[in-house]
Amino acid sequence: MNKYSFLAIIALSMSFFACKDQRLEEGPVADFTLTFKALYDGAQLEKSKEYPYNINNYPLVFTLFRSYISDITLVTDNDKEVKLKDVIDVNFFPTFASTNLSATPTFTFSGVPEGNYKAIKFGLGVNPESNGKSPNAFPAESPLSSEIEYWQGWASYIFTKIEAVGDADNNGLSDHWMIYHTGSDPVYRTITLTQPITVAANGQPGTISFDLKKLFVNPDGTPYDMEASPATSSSLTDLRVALFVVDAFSQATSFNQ
Amino acid sequence: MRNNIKSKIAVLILMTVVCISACDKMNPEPPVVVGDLENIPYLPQVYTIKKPAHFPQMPIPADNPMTSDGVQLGRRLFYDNILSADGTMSCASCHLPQGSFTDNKPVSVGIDGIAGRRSAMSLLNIGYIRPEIGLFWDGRAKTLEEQALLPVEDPIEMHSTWPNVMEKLKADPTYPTLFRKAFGISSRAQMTKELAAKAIAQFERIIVSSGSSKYDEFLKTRDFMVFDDEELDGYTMFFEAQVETGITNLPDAQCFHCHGALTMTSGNLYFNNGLDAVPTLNNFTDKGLFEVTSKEGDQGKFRSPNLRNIAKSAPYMHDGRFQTLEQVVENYALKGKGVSNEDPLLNQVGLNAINNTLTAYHKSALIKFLHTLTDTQVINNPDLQSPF
Repeated sequence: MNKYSFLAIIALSMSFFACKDQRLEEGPVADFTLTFKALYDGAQLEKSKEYPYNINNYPLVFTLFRSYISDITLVTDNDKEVKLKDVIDVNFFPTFASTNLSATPTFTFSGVPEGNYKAIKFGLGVNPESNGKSPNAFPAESPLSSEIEYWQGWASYIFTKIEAVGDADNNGLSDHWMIYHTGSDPVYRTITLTQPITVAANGQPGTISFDLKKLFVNPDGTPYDMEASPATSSSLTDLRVALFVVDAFSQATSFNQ
Repeated sequence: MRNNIKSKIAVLILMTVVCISACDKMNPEPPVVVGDLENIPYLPQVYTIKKPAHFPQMPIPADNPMTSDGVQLGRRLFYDNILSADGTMSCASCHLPQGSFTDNKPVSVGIDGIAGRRSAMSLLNIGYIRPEIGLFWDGRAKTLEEQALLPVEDPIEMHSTWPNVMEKLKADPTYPTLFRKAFGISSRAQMTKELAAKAIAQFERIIVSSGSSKYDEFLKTRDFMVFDDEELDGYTMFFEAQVETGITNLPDAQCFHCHGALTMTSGNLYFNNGLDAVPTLNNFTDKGLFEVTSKEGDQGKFRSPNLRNIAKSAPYMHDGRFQTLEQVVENYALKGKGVSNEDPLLNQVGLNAINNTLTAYHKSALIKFLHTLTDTQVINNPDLQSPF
């Protein structure tokens, strides 16, 4: 055996052990399932159901609730991040749902390292990098390729939509409308939910819930006056209502497993 | 003696050969079934949809990839009266290129002279409608493949049956070859309604804007000078683009919420767009989406249509009640009728105008903008015309 053959064998052996070490470090992986729920006062939100408006108690019906959720990431105890997905479209009121109960969109992410995590975080909306592109920049299977949620006038995706109608005089006809559509980079928010999370083979799924009753509450705990601010502005220079909505999401969002 | 032995050996060999041959005849191999179309070459070529660069990628179902032969078969079927019971009507009867793939009638009329309930929807850019949105005014078909099956057997449309249509197609001198080339089937027996629908769907997916409208010129260049002043004002109100255009003294017309950005198809899907002042939801004459979902709140809701080439596809609304764009815009300026399931954005039409009301100029500017969506190239595209 000449010295070159000997070196080649050593090199091959080292690469074999290096691969083995890497595999050990990566450890086993599993599927992790995440469900999104829309709630109102802790109960599953229903389409066409009348809820008491938060100030005057007249009937309020939610008609639309959907949101882009970006960069879903698990965080380990030593702050290592494991990204589960770039972006998903979470629609709680799909047109062809079989019931009026809000849908519970469920996503399963494969190849997630098994173990314990201390938090889950995600972006509410579309992160600025992706939001800077238009739908033709994404492959057809991406939710961002669908131009129907792209706001051309603002060069932005429509991040979140919540719509409701109210009937203040209780005569069966709508007389109040609430339209909260958010979009543009300044209203992109990252929400971090700190709670022990375990990923394991055949492990428990996680659930992220948005409670709309908790959403329309001012920071001081008083009800947000939806009647006074019934719609997000159509001006990029006036994001007051949109900023309230996206900032309030952190108090309306919870995770459990 | 030696010759005698040779003769015996020769006889033995001969007998053996005869026995083997006999055995073959007693236990014959099963006959190879040669399909009646197998001699026709099957050489599928991927068909790439010609779309403007600024349009998004079209989702194509994995079980119906686009091929040149599939598109050609679909085109022929689309224009062929063979699909109707009496041979007088085709898909194109209600979806003519010159009407931007509508028939320009308030409601379509079938082979028996019976008028349908609804106006034919434009097929322009129909391939962009995703299954979760649905097709027809009420979403009763999820995919183009599903949709293509329905008019043939509808008693107020083609009033035929698929078994009848397939018999005619199998007996036709041309179609078996085209099915073979499109789908690689080996015999006429394998020609099915599902394959016919797939082919029609492939053709419908190529009905895509040419990108030559004035609006597309703007999208390509982002140069507001493409528009005249009134068109630009219309654009600004349509898309709430006050910040983008710098024209801040115009109201919001709220149009884009239901008529998305590029293909101008459907934003929030199905709406009660404020046409009828019914006392209760049960009073809608045409219950629309409710007929599919059975949900109380879906009564009187219809899918928002594609506005591309809207000036070419009159009349308007699901029942063709409006003859002109002026009537359409006038209706939206009324902000609905207050019916409980009306879309909340109707109430916001004209937001920021004096008294939150669109003026005559605002309405005129919106209509001028709608005319910038006119795309005559797609209407005249030779790939989309009748092959007959």
